[in-house]
Amino acid sequence: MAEAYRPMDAYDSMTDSTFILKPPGRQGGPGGASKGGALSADGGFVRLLQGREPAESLALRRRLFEEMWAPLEALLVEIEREVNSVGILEVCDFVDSSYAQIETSEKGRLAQPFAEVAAAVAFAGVNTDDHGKLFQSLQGQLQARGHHVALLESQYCGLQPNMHRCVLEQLFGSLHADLDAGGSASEPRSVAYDLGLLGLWWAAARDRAKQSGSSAATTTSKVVVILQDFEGFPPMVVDDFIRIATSYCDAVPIVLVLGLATSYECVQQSLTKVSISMLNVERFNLQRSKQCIDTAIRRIFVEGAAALLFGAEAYKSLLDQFLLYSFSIAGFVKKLKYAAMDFFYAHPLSVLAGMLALPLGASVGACPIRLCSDQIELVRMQRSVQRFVERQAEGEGGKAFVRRALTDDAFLQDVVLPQMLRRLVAYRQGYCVGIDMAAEIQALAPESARKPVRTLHYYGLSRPFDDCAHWKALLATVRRLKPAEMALLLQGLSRAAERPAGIDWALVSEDGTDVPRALRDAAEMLADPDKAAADAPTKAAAAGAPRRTRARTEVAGRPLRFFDSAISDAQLCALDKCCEAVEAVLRVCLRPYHDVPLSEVFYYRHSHLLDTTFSAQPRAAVQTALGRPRYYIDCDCCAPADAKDGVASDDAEGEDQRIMPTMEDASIAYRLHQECGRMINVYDWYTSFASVVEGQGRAAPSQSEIQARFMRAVEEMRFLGFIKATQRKTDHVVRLTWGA
Amino acid sequence: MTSDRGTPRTAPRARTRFDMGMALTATRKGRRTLLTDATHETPTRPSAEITDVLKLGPPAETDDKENSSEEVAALCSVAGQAVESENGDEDDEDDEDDSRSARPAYRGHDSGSDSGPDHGGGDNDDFADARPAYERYFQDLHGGRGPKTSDNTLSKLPRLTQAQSRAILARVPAKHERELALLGSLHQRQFRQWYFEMECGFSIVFYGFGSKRRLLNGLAERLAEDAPVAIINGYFPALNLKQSLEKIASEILGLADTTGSPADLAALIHGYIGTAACGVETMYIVVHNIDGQCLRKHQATLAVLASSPHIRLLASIDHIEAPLLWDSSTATRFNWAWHDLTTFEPYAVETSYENFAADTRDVGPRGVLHVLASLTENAKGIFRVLAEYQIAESVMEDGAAPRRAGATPEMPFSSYFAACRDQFLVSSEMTFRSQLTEFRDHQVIQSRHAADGSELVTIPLDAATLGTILESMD
Repeated sequence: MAEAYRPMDAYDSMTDSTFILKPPGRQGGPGGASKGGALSADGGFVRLLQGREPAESLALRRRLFEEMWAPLEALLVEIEREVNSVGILEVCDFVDSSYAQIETSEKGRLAQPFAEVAAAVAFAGVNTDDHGKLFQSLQGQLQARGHHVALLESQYCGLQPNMHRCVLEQLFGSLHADLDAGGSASEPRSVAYDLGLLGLWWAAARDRAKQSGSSAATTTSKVVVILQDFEGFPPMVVDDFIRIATSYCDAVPIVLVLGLATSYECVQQSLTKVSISMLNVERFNLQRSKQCIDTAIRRIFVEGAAALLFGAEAYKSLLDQFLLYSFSIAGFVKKLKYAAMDFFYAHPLSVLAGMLALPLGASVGACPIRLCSDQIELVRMQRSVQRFVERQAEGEGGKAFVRRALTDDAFLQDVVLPQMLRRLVAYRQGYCVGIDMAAEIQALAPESARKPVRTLHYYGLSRPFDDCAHWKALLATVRRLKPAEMALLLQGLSRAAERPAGIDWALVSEDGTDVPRALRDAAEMLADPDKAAADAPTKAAAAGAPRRTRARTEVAGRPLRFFDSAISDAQLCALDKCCEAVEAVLRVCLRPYHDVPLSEVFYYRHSHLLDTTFSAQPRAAVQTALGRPRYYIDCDCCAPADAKDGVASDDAEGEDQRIMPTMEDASIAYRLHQECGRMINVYDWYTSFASVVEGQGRAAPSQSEIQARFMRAVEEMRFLGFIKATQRKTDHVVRLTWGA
Repeated sequence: MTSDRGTPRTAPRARTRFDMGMALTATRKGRRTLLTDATHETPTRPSAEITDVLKLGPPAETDDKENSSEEVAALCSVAGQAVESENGDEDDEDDEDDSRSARPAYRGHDSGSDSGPDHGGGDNDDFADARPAYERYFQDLHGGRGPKTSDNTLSKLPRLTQAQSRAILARVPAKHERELALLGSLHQRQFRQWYFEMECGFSIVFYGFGSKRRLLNGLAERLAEDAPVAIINGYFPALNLKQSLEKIASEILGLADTTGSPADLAALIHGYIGTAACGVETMYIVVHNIDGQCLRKHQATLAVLASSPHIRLLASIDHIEAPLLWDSSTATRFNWAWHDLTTFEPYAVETSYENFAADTRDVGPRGVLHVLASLTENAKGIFRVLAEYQIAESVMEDGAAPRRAGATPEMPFSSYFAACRDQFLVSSEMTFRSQLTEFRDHQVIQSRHAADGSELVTIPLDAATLGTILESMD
C-alpha cells in the first residue's frame, strides 16, 4: 500500500536522524569527497584584492589578529575582574563573619532560640549573560578562603532531589579531594542524595582537619550554596531547601547566596513567610557593568590599547547594544571581537596595523611587510590620504613630493606612509588628552551636566567640536570660573596634557599648536594679569575707559564673573584669554577623526555588519524574500511590464503590488495570503493561486501540477510559521502574522 | 510575462487573479458564485471593447459591474498616454486593465448589493486596505462579524498522494535557475569565512527563506576533511536527541558507556572532548532546523555542547519566531553569529513529514513513526504486537498463493486483545478499545467487520516497511 521510502540524498533517512562524517583518514561516513582547498588552510583566511594579495600579507593579517585580540581579551577579563572585585570581597567578608557567635562558643549556639540561615542577597543586574563569570569568580574567591562552595543553576535544579544532588556532588567533589588526601576513597555516585549526609560529612571533615592540625582554616570555613539565578528556581524547591537547611544549620554553617537580577521583591513574593523568616538576610550590590564598560572604553578606545578603533556609527551600535538592550559585557566583547575579526579578515589594508606598532624612529627595514601595488593603490584612494598629500603640495618642494607620492610606490610606503601613521598616532594621543581635559572640566560642572566617559567618547567621535552642545556647556562652565578656580583648572589641564609621555604636539593638529605650552602661558598670564596687560598695551589702550561697559555686553551669558566686582579689569582680560586658550586647546584635541590620514582604515565603519550578525531579524528576512524577492533574486522576468519599459520604474510601491506568475510558488502563496483575513479557506486560496500560475508564459500547467505546487507552497508556509491548521472550519488555516 | 506581454490574454488573467483573491475574503455566501461567474466571463470579454469606449467617451449605461467613475478615471490616465504613443495601445490596455481590476477586488467587503453600480463608493472600497495592520487584527479578532470565508472545501479537488505529488514536482521546471545558482555560489564563497568565525569561537545560525540542507551538507562535507562532523536532522519528527548524542559519543569520541539523560550526555561530551584521553581535538555539529519540534525543549542541552571550545555548532532555523527559543543566558552560551542564508530552495525533505494536504487515508511510514513517537510504551507495544503478527503472516504467506492482490494480513480483534493482555499491555477491553480508537484516528490501524460479524484489524503497510518501523522503534 505504501511505497518504499526513497531518501533524497545521503543525509536523509526515514529512520535515522543523525549522521556522522569522519575525516578521510578514518573509516566510515558517507562524505569525505575533497573538492577545492581545505577550509582550514590559512585558518580560513582568503586572499583579498581578487586573489592578488601576496601570501605574506595574508599571513601577517592572520598573525596581527591573534596578536591584537589575545591581549585585548586578557585586558577585558582583567578589567571585569578588577571592577567586580569590590562587590565580591564584600560578599566574601560577609561569609567569613557569618555565624560568628556560633563559632566562638558553644553557648552562642544555645542562646539562639530560633534557627536562622545566613543569606546574602546579591543584586547582579539584568545582564544575566555575565552572571556566570561573576559568580564563578565569587566561587573561586570563596574557595580560596577555605570555604566549601556549591554553585547552582536553575536549569539543573527543577526538582528537590536534583538540587540536593547538585549541592552534594559539588561539595563532595571538593571533599573528595580531601578524602583522597586522607587516603579513604569512597564512591560518591552510590550515595543517596540527602542533606543529612552533609552533617556527617561536615563532622568528619572537621575531625580530619583537627587531626591534621590546620584548625584555623577549618574552624572558620563554611558551606556556601550559591543560587546563581534565583528567579529561575521554582519557589517551592528553594523554600523546601531553606527549611531543610535550617534544620541542619546548628550542625553545619550553611550560607546561602541568592543571585538576583531584578529586585528583592522577587524573594518576598516567591518564598513563603516562614522560610523568609528563617533567613538572616544581608544585601549586596554587584551591579558594576557600567563601570566596567566605562573602564573598558577608556582603556581600549580612548587610550588606544588596540590598533582598531570604532568610527562613530559602529561605536553607537556597540553602545546601544549595551545601554538599550542588556547591559551585557559579554555582548560588548562579542561585538568587539567580531569587528576585529572582520577588520583583519576582510580589509586588505589591515596589514598597516603592523606598521602602527613600530616605534617612531624605526628604520625602513623594520617594517614587517612590503605592500603590493594593489594595496598601495588602495592607500592612495583613501580620501584622507588624498587630503594629506594635497596639503603637502603647498610647502617648498611640495609639488615634487606629491608627484613622487602618487607615482612612486616605494616612496609612498617608505616616506609618506610612516608620516601619516605618525600623525594618526599623535592624533590619538592628543584625543586621549582631550577627553581627559573634558573630564577635568566636567568635575567643576554641576552634577547634571557630567557625562560618563562612554558618552564623552561618543561626542568626540560623532560631532564636530562646534556642533556639540556638551562641549559648549563645558566652555560655559569655564567662563563662569573665578581666577583662583581657573588657576586650579589650568593646573589640572596641564597635568592631563603632560601625563602621556612623548606626544609630538606638532603632529597632533595641522597648525601644530603646542597644548601644554598654551596652557602654561595661560596660567602665567592669570598669575600676573597686570604684566600681561602691559605686554599688550596697544589693545588695552585702544579699549581704554569704556572697557568695563563693553565687558558688560561681552559677558552677557556669564553672570557670575560679571557680578564679582572684586575682579580688576586686567584680571578680567586675563580670564578671557584663559577661556580662549582652553577653548583653543580643546578644539585642537577633540577635532573629529575624519581629517586624520588613514582614518578610513583604522576607524571601523561596518556597523551594519555588526547589527545583522548579532541583532538579526530572521522574520523580516523571510518576509522580504517572499514579499519582495527582487532583493534576493535580481531577475528580469518578475519585473512588471511597465517597469521594464521605464514608464513606472521609479514607482517601486506600485511594482510591489503585482503578483507575477514567474515568481516562486511560495512567494505567490505568501502574497495571496496577505490579502486575506484571519481565517483562510484553503480551496479558495488554491483557486487564486491557480489563476496566477495559469498566466505563465509556457503552456498552462496541468491541474494536478498546480495542485501539487500549491500544496508544497502551503506546507512551506506552515513550516515557516505563517499559518497554522485549525479545527474551527473544514479546510481552513489561521493566518498568524500581520503587517509587512 | 516576457513572451506574451500585451496580448489580450494576459490582461483578463490578471483580473481573474484578483477576483479569485477576493473569493478568499468574500463576505457573503453566494458571493463566491458571482465572482466565479465573473471569472468565467472575463476571458471572453474582448479588450477591444475598452478601446471602443476610449473612442466613445464615458459609456451611457453600465450594466457591467465596474464602476463608471472608475472607468472614467482609468480612461483619463490612459488617454494621456495614448496621445503620446499611437502604437503603444497594447501596453496601455494592460495598464488600464490592471488598475481597474484592482478595484473590484475589495468591493465584496462592504457593498451591500451584488448588482448595480455603486457610484461614489470608491472611497469606501479603499477602506479595507487602508486600515493599519494592527487595527485589522483586532477587528478580525474581536469584531464579531469579521470577514467570513466561503464554505468551499478541498474535497472539490482530486486527491493526490504524497508520492504522486513528489513525482509531479520533480517534473516541474525550476524558476530563476540562473539567479539562484548565483545566489548559491555567493553563499559558497563564504564557507571559509564561516570556518574562521567558528575557529574564533562563534556558533553560527543561518536563517532566511529556502531549504538550507543542501548548502550546509556541502559545508559539512568540506569540514569533514579536517575533523569529525555530526549532522542532526532537527526537522525529523521522531528525532531522539539522546540517541543522537549517544551516536556522537560512541562513534566520534569512542565512549562505550553512554547512559543517562540528554543533559547528562551533553555534559559528558562537553567534559570529555579535548582531553588527552579523548584524542579528538575538535568536532563539528551541524543541526538542520534547531527549531525543530523535537529539539525545542532541548535547547539548554545543545547550548551546553555549543559552549565547549572544542565543539563548533552550525545550525539553521526556518520558523519565523525561532529566536524566541533562546533566553539571554542560553543565547550567550550558544554565542551565535547570525547569517542570512536565503536560498529559495524548496523544503522538500523538511516538509515531507507534513501530511497536511495529501490523502489522509494514506498515512505512510513517516506518519506512523510520527504518531508512535508521541505514544506511551504500552501503546507502542500494542502496535508492535500487530506489526509482528502481520510480518509473520506475510512471511508464511509467501509460499502459498496470496488471497487477494495487495491485501495485508488482518488479525481478529479477539486474538489481538488476548495477545496484548498476555503481554500485560492492557488490562481491560475498554482501555484496549480506546487505544485502538486513537490509532484509528491517526490512520495507523484500520479495522473492518468480516462477513461473520467479527472485527478484523490491520496496519495498512507492507511487511518490509513495518520491519523498518519496528527497527527504528528500538
